Amino acid sequence: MIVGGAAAALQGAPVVTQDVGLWFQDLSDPGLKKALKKVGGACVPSIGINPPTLAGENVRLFDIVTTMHGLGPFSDEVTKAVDIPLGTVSVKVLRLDRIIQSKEAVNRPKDKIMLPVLKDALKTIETYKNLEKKRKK
Amino acid sequence: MHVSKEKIEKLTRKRGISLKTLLKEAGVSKTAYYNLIYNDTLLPHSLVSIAEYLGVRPSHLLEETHPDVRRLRKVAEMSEKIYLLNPESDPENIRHTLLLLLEEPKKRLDRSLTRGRGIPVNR
Repeated sequence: MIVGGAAAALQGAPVVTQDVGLWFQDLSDPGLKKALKKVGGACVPSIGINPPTLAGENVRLFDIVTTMHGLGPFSDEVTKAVDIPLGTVSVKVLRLDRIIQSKEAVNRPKDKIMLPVLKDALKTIETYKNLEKKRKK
Repeated sequence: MHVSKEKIEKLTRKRGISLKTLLKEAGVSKTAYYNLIYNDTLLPHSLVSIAEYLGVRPSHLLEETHPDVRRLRKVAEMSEKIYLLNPESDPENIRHTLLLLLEEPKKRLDRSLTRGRGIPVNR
């Protein structure tokens, strides 16, 4: 599931991000290894305080996320995820309100900066949908 | 529908310029200006008649032809509505979100990554 700033951007939040965070249910899933091999990448396991990372030119944009503070387990959160079309595939993206919840829980300075924008984006999207619904009635 | 002399005067006062300066910078002669001001209507009489029959103002039947201008105008109108319902929100965030919603998700992500590190998603 795509998480973090990239997930927010995909849903329309005007935020800037440096990478695409990917939250995996299980890093030992053979499907992951197979997909990485296909694009010439590999998964580097966690070393010391460093989390696992992805190696390879074609996967340099992606960042592995192992824990999402303030949220339930992956299996719960994925049921609330939104499906967003990206090219020929549809990807699971962490819902905007859940991204906000997670950033509030982490509370890092860079997350605090992003929070007002994310909250305004969420209100905008919800209000816009309600207005469009009323207009179409 | 006619040109409002009062609106023009108000705008020139607001910008601190004289009518003479306005006409010079806009490339409009005094004659052309006073023709505009003292004409009953600038719109074709046929349009005025159609509007009267439909019971609407003639301006209601006018539409911006440039697609980008039309699009941005719609965004501005929607931003206004949403801001009235959410006055605690930053109007800039509202407008930028609405502009992004007009784009495909991949373009939104490209934009975010390009600004973040100058590298768009290329697949």
